[in-house]
Amino acid sequence: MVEPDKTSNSAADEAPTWRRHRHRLAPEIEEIAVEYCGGERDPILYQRARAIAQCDLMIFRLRAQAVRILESFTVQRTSSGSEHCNRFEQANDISEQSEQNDLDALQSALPDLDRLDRIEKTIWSRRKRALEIFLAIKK
Amino acid sequence: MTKPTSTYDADTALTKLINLFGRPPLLRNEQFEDFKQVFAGLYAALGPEDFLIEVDVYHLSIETWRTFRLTRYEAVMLNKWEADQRRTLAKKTKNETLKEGMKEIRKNYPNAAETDPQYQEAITKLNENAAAEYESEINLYAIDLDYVQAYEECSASVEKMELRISRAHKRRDDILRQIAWWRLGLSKKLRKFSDAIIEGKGGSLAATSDVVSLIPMGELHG
Repeated sequence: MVEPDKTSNSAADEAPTWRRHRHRLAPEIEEIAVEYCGGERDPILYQRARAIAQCDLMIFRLRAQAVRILESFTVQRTSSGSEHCNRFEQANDISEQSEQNDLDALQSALPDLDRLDRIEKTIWSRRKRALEIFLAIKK
Repeated sequence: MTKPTSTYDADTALTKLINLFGRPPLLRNEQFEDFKQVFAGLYAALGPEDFLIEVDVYHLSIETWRTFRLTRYEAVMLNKWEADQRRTLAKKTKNETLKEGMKEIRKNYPNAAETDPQYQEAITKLNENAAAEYESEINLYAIDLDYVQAYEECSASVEKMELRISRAHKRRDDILRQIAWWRLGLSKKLRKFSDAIIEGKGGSLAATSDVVSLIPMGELHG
């Protein structure tokens, strides 16, 4: 008799805990927000600082993702046996050919990069709005 | 000799920003040390007074880096198109030389068999001439006109690249505007601080006779 009750209680307890975990912010965001506030304790200022920090981190993640996409296309281009690899071997100037591979990779990755660009643009706008309020409070 | 930029503050700030936001997005053929120099230069130029501007300087360095990367790619693209055009032209010239040369050989040796040593020598010489002509065509210095032609050929690709460069420029300008706007916004607050300091100093400063010597009575009335 005790066992089922215990189970149901723990399940009920776990649900809000899980929700709390789900909405918990990354520790970096808190850390950056504290830096932005520079010792000020205003909760609205802090909330805006968190929004700016979140946008900053997302922008950095998107940039990293863009580099990852570019790198993956560059690796595909220089993989052994490919036409580009053969051309690479034939080329006299290796550095020029390497830049050529980067350019080819960029051209192949353009649709993906455009998508990331659009997301980044939205986040920049969000950051700007948060920054406007942040400055208005700080003034 | 130009004064070297002090990188101590910039280095400390960059380390802190990397710890918080992660490393700058560099490709494998790009050096972190070069990025550090760009950051140090911008940091020295803008002289950030708080964390928010430090972050903006970091964003600015990344966007500047991205602009230069794209500009470099644009140059590579134009060089590639120019080289492709040159190769096509050189190939065409080589084929024409071979065609004309073969006509000449056939005229000179109308009844010669393919195994004829004189005929074979003429063919070898022709091939050598054509190869030399191809090489000289390839190794010619590119002039502006070559690039104009290449630009016409790849204008669609250049346009795409220019669009990306413009976007990076816009983001860069937005960050600079943001810094200016932030400084302007805070100037009122900073003025309040400076006013309070000035007023505070003015109130406590007293002109005493031991600091400023008194003018003798006779001199005062002339």
